[in-house]
Amino acid sequence: MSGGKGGSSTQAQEIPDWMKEPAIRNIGRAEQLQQVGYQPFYGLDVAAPNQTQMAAGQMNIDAAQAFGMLPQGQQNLTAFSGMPQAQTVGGVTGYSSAPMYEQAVQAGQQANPTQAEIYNTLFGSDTGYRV
Amino acid sequence: MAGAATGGVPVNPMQQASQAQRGALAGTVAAGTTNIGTIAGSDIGQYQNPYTQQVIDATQADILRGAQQGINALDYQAGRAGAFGGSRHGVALGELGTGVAQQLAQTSAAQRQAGFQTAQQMAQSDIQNRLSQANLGLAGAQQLAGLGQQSFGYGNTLQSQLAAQGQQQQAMEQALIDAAKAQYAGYTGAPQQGLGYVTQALGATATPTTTTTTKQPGLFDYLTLAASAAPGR
Repeated sequence: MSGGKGGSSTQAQEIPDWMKEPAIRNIGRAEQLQQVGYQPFYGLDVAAPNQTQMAAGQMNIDAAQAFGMLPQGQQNLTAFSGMPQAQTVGGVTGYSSAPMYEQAVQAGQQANPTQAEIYNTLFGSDTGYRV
Repeated sequence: MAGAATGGVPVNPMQQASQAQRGALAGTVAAGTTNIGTIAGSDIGQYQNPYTQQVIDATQADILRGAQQGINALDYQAGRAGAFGGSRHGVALGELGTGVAQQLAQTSAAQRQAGFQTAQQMAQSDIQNRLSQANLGLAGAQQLAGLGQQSFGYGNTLQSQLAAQGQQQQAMEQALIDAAKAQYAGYTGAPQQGLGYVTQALGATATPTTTTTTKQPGLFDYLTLAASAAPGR
């Protein structure tokens, strides 16, 4: 801009609406998405030993038993004894880390409730979002 | 454990191996501790012919019978010569007696020697039999150990193959699980990906801007305008 006896001139640049509006909507959508938070996977993570592996494992135990090598008190040992209970989903049997994850989250909340409260306010609070 | 025994031999190869190994160990120990015996330690008397003395007695009786016939013959000859009871008759009988005594002793010694040698051979034969028996037991134990090893190999191979087969199945199931996890990651990541589409589109497009210039005229602008508008110019 110039002024005085010679007058003045102003220049302004504007983004066109067809580009500005999607950008604004995208930012709004990102803010909305921010409210979602972490979405854990509750499905199976690791395939469990199948029947064939159970049989192979049992053969190992039986072999040890045949040679008298099972330790005292382990005479009733079976293949994959002590493994967690597997679950079957969609015909596939396996283990899920979800219960351990939930337990860890709960333990964290109990250990530091303030931190957990702050964390939780980050998500799901801005339910009235509108573009 | 699965596998019924057939003729005392279990079907399960690992049980076979264990049983064979125990048998081989026991057989080896038995063969190694067998008392083979020695000639010096043997009771030769038990191998002696119990009728040796009777044989010797019979032989001696035969010799004495022959000697008696010799005496009779000497007596007859001396009688016919009128020398019965004479010194020559006595010398002849003495020589005959000496010969008979020697024959009796030699025959008896020879028979006893033969009996002892036979008994010794029988004792040696018994020792050889026990040695053969021990070697046979040792060979059987070795064969049993070999068969046990073979059974152990069968069991191991079958177990390994079964485990490998199971691993293949588990790998497929794990692949299914991984695919499901990937699908879920796609589901949860879809909104963020949608944001990216717009961002990418905006970033890839050259940002058009409209420039608007606004001019505020000054004193000179008006004077210039007035001068240019004056008549006669």
